[in-house]
Amino acid sequence: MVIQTQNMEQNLIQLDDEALILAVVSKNTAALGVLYDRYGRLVYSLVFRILNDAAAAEEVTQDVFLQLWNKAWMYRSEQGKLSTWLTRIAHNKAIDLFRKNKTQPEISDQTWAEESEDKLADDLVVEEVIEMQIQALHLRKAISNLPMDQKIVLSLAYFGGMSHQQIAEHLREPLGTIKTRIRLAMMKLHAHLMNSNAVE
Amino acid sequence: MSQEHVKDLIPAYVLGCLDQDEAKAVQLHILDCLICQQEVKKFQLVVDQLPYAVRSCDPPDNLRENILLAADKASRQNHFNRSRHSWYHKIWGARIAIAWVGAATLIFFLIVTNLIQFQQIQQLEKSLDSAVSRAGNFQYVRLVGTPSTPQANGLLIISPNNLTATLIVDGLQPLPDRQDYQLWLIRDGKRDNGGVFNVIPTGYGVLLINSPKPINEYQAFGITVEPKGGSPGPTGDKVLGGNF
Repeated sequence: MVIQTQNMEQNLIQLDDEALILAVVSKNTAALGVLYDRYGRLVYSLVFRILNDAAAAEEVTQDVFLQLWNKAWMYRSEQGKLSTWLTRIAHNKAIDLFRKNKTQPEISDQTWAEESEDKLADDLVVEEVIEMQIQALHLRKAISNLPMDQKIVLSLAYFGGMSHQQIAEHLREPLGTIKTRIRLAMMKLHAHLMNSNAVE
Repeated sequence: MSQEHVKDLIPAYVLGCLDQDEAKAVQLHILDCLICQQEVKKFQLVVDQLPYAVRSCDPPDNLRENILLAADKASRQNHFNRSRHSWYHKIWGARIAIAWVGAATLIFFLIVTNLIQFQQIQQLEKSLDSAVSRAGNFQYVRLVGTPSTPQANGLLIISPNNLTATLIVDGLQPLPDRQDYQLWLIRDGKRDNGGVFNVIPTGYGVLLINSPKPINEYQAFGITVEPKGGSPGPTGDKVLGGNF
């Protein structure tokens, strides 16, 4: 039985996300396992950086993949990549839990990855994962080039789920300054990604 | 605000860090501004890629196994529920048949009573349709709750110009400040934003819709729970839905 499951996963690992989603819709747990191998680390890392709590991150990651298991039929590939769908769900769930717990965001140098940091997934077979690694490289470079004050407000908004006003109060800076920093940071990231052709 | 472009606010809107009023103003503006819709798409691409830049960390070793076990358990539970339902019917089938015979007289009486009431309702509906027609050819779509919100219902009233509509809902839970209900206009599987709203404590809510396209070109409508100000695409649970 174990050997059969392993053989099935070996076959499934070659499939693209869309084919795996069809297998998940038909309740194939091996396909869910392959998708976890592709995107589990990405989802867990995002949730962990928002919540700073390993147990809570584990719980939210499990919720995300169970949502994938139960509602895979809702995914539409023409609306975006599976990794984007999963990370949006993960971000929403983690920010909801974070706000519910009413904790203060802990933003540190450990939040964003270094340019040359480790890979996001162990499975480097399919196009989706290779593309994800390339995008990660471009974006990490773009973020490392941001001035520290822009990097901080971006982190507080994205990982802390804070509004302009809350960030201004948290940093004791004028609201207009915070708005400008957010806008500049996002414009620089977009410009960098366009120059590197990472987004189309 | 809805007459001026809101480009400066769009990066923060997409990042989800605008205050409630600003988010609603941007939401309203982008409904019918193609230039700002393009800006939203542009910055959404950036936000969608931010997770890739997060410092990676190892999930617990047992997480994969736990997820697969939980998925397997959920499937077995569904299968068990279906099987139990079938078994239950076999055992109780005979008794139900006897009950049917006993209830036949009562059912006959109810059918006769209902027929009389049905005729009365039909007459009332004809009067209502006639009144609606006189009111200017409004169209309407009924929205019904999902298994998780069976008590909810809604009505989408579409104006004769086909670009504006009013959504009325009832029986929905009021959402906390950090969330909104979001209406989706669905065509060929593609979802356009129809606007966000919340409900009063009794569960009643109203939303005015300015559609980017003629509303009768959409095939279906759905409402999901989303973060404050809405999302570019559905991410939360569906609470109401209906087809044209």
